[in-house]
Amino acid sequence: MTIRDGALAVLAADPEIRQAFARTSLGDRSVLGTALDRDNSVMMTTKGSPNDALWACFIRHGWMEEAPVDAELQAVMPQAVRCSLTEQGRRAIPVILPILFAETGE
Amino acid sequence: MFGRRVTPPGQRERAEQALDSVALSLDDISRYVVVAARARGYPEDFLANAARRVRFLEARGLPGFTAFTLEMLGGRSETLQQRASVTRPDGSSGGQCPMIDAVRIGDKLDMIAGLPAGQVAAYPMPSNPLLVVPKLAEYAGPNGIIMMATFYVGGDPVTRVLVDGHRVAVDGPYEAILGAEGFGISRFPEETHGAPALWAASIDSIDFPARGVSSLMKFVEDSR
Repeated sequence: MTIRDGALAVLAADPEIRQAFARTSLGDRSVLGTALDRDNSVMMTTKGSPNDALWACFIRHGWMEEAPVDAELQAVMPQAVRCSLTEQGRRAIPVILPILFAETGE
Repeated sequence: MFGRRVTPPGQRERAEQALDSVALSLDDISRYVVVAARARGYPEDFLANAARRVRFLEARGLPGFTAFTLEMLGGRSETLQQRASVTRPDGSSGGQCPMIDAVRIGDKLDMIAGLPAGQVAAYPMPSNPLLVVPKLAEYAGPNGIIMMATFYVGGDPVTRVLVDGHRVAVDGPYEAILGAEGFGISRFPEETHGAPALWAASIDSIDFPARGVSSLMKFVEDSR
């Protein structure tokens, strides 16, 4: 199965991705584009946020992984969630992003 | 204390180097691209894309702004309409504008990506073909593939630039990218060669020859 076919199969099988993406703002989504564009990028959000829901989907499919939150950040921001892209995600997410953007009229 | 008569080793070189180059941020580069491309007569809709593509290259360590500057300064004897054509005014083929050519190549990428593994689509080489590479990245990402631009010198494939949507890899000397005599495009066969190590953007500013910036600005002023 090609990377594209694999990514499309995941998108078709997991309706939560579309639902979570639809709840994100343009600002939320811009984080993904920036992360894809940069090496070693780590993204941060808060538990329960739209991005947290979307990233949880991506983690489920091996496209992202949770990164540790250091104690200092944890102390001032207990709800912090940090995530980074996996190699698989760096290939799969660019496949589905244009589709999700098109579906949400962006 | 201040009576030193001899310039410490390296200081003169460093001073000369400082005069010879200017530090440009990626935003500076975008502005120069927009101003110069506008002066050359490219349509307004085209400018932001041109800037984004040059920026894509420079942020990943590829000499996109050099290629762009060479493109603006070279071929000035031709009109933009002539630059858009694969045929030169003297009847020869190749040397056309790579940024306009990228649009044309974009329509052929489905066919090129569908070629058997290892087969390269040869094409009349545009001038400064590096400027086509971001278009390959734009195609590769949504299709989940890696595209490969091959730069030939003396008929030999010397340097390959690989791109997925956001990342690049370079195999071979960088000099061949700007000095290529031939250019080919293909899909990188991951199924036989494995996944290459690609890198995303990590560069925010570059040192660029001051003469290049000066020539580009003179070109803009002369175009008014």
